[in-house]
Amino acid sequence: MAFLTPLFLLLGLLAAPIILMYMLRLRRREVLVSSTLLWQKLLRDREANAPWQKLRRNLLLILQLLILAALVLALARPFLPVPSVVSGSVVLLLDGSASMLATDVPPDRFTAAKEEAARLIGDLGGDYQMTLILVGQTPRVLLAASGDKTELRRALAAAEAETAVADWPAAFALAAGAAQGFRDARIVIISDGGLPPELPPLPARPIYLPIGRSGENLALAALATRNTETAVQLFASVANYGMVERQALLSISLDGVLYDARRLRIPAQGSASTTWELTPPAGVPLGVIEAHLSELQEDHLSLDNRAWVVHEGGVSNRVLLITAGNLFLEQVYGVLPGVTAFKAPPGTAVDEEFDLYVLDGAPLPDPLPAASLLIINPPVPELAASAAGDLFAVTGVFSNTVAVRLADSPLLEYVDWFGRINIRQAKNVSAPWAQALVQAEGGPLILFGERGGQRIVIMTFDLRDSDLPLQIAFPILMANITEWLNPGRAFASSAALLPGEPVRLRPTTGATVVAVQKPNGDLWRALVAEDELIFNETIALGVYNVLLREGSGDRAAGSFAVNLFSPDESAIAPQTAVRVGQMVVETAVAGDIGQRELWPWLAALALIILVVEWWVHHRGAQPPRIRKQR
Amino acid sequence: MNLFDEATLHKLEQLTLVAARVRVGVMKGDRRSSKRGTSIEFADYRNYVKGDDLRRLDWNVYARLERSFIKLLEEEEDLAVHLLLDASASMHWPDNDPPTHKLTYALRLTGALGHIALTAGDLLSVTLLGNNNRSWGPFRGAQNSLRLLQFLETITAVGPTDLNLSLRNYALYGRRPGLLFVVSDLLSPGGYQEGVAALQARGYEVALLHLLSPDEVNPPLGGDLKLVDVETAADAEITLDPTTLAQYRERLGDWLAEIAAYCAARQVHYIPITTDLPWEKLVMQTLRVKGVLK
Repeated sequence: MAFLTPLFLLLGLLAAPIILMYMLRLRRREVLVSSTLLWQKLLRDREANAPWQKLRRNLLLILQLLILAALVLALARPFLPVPSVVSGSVVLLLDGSASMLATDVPPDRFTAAKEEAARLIGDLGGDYQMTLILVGQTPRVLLAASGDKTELRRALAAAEAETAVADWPAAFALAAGAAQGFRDARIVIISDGGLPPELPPLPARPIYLPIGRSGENLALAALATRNTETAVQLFASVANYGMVERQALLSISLDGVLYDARRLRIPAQGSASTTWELTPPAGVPLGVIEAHLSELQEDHLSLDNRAWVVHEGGVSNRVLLITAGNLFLEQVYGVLPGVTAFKAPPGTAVDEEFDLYVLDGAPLPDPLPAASLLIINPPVPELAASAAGDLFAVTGVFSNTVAVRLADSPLLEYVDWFGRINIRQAKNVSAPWAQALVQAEGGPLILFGERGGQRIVIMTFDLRDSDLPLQIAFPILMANITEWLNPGRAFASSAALLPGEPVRLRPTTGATVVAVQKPNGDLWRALVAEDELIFNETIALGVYNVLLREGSGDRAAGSFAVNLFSPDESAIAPQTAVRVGQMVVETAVAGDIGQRELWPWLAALALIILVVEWWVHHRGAQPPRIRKQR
Repeated sequence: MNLFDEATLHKLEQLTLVAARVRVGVMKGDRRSSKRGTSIEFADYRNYVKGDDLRRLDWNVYARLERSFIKLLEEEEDLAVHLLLDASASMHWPDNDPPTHKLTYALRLTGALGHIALTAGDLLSVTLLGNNNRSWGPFRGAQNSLRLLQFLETITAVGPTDLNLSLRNYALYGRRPGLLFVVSDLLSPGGYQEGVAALQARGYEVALLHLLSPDEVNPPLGGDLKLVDVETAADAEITLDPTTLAQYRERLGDWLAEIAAYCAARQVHYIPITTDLPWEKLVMQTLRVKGVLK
């Protein structure tokens, strides 16, 4: 045993004044009594326990000296050298990624890692400090350069693992920065070894403490949909990261209703895939497809046994093309995402409801449908049905179609119009409710506006009289117009979102509030201030629903799924070594000498003795009453 | 020091000392003797036996019955009353609390008993135990009351006492045995038993009036103390805590019980008195209840 601050031992000299004061205190007061006869009797009776009496006479002194000794020893901070994996200051990288939630080490790897970290905190030498870094999707410094073990333990206790993929390069950058402030630093990595290759070298000696025992894990490695000509194809892939061939039951649910289940045999270190042809009723979106692995024999990570996919973002608009035949329109609406197109020749009686009517040179249906309208090449007035009469008026044609003014509108986003689009002639259409999107010298080329809550766009020319369909601008313009007329999903995301990846939300014009309903039901809200919002609270696995507030009501604007499709996290087999820079770091053994400090025990002992002393004092004597002496 | 007021004295005159086993008096007193005697009070008859004084033959009965009977008459006698007052230094206690001062209390008690005895025509002698064994009397007659009080007022409590020795000496050199009161705190290292036994052997009827002050019963002390005896200057070092005090009270109780048992076994009147008991109440009530006065 040695002391960190041995100078404090000099305080032991305080024992001298205590003994002195005690001796002064013990000078007995002389008190006259009428007779000592009865007292002598009492004393004679008590002779039998005289040793105890003598001891008790000095018990308070002994207790006080013991308290002093305990306090002085505690101040001198004695420690026992204990074998430890580290000495000196420590930068602790605590892996908080999804694989640390594996349960091969009960209760889970992260708890075991925290226990390991707590042990390191206990062994931390008195003059040294520790920085705690939790390596998650965004590595965080839990506590920087602290020698306060209580604070360190508190910070450690508050740490929680995420269901995300760890960002090790960022964590290494943090660790390198933290290690530079320390002399004699060690960087300790407590992890199951799912570190990416080619990590940068560290400025201090890294020490690796592996967590985990088993690598047996089945994972849903992929779940995706695509449109075929007749149906929606669902693709699912299950990977086996263990060393034994496994069987599992893969169940598919559509909007929570079990659709199909298949038994798969997955070879060790291999994968198995399967596909489904899903044929939803026409025009009905598929909704949320959930895949679930069950009947697993040995599977230590449950997070990746469940996956979700939302086909085309969960939004599908039915579009009716009323045209005598227009290849360009048919092709565009065939490939626009989130749109299901139907075609009807002009004059057909339409008894179904559609979200969008595209009238290509066709007369307006009577009565006018309550849905959005895209009117291309409106018919001349004498052909127009009576319903069109108050909608617009065609007053003639013009050929001076060079665009002179473009409206500042999202409908023209990414559309390169000037000098590229040539239109032979266009009709002169006047509509008081509309404004010109593209204005030519002779009159408006494209009009747009809202009339009684109904969104209408009018293109005043025949597509076949222009080279617009041949330009790159055409699909962009059609997509913009269609999205404005029929807002679909309000986000741009890749099909496979990993936990923690940000999602760009693009609310449509008119939306004031964007809300995202998280898998646990919580709502995230943001006021629409810019065109694009970033939503990055995607740590939880599951389906996120996007809602837009437009005017008074909320509108569902699609859904997206966050899945743990990460081979790094699903491959939970613990590694015995990690590669850092050019160095392979093996599992550490307890080779260093740590310091286990004893002062808390001594302080506790002093407190206990103090309580005993108080008790002895109060039991032992009443405060003496002063008597007049003769 | 004024021991009594007029009213108290008057009340005392109503009282008479009672001796259960009455003593032979030298003079005709005004109390009945158990001896059959020469007074005019008829007591009994008995048969004449040879040698009886023919003067006491009841001739009237002889004339009627022709049998000789001796007429027995009550004898009336006076009582010798001895008051033995402990005047050792331990009686000068508590020195800071006059109402419960043991010596003052003892003087009042002695005065009261003396006054009662003198008023009843008894032969009274007062002797101090310790303090050079000063004594007063024997005197008879109520006219001596004032002198008695004057004597009592001169008494102070000094020096040690050996109760046994003093009582034994009194028994040896005492005069006429009679009713004997010992007023003492009995705090004598040698004890009191031999002395009492010696007195009883000489025919005294002994009453022990045992005085203790309240602070001797419940010492208001605590802490690390060196107790010094005012009488013997002996000291005792003791650490007083509630446990020790409880033990002290236990010992005191045992001691009092022991004295009471001793006295009961030897037909000694034992009256333990704590000096916070008003002395008038003691004289008027407690002593009457105990049968010492009537």
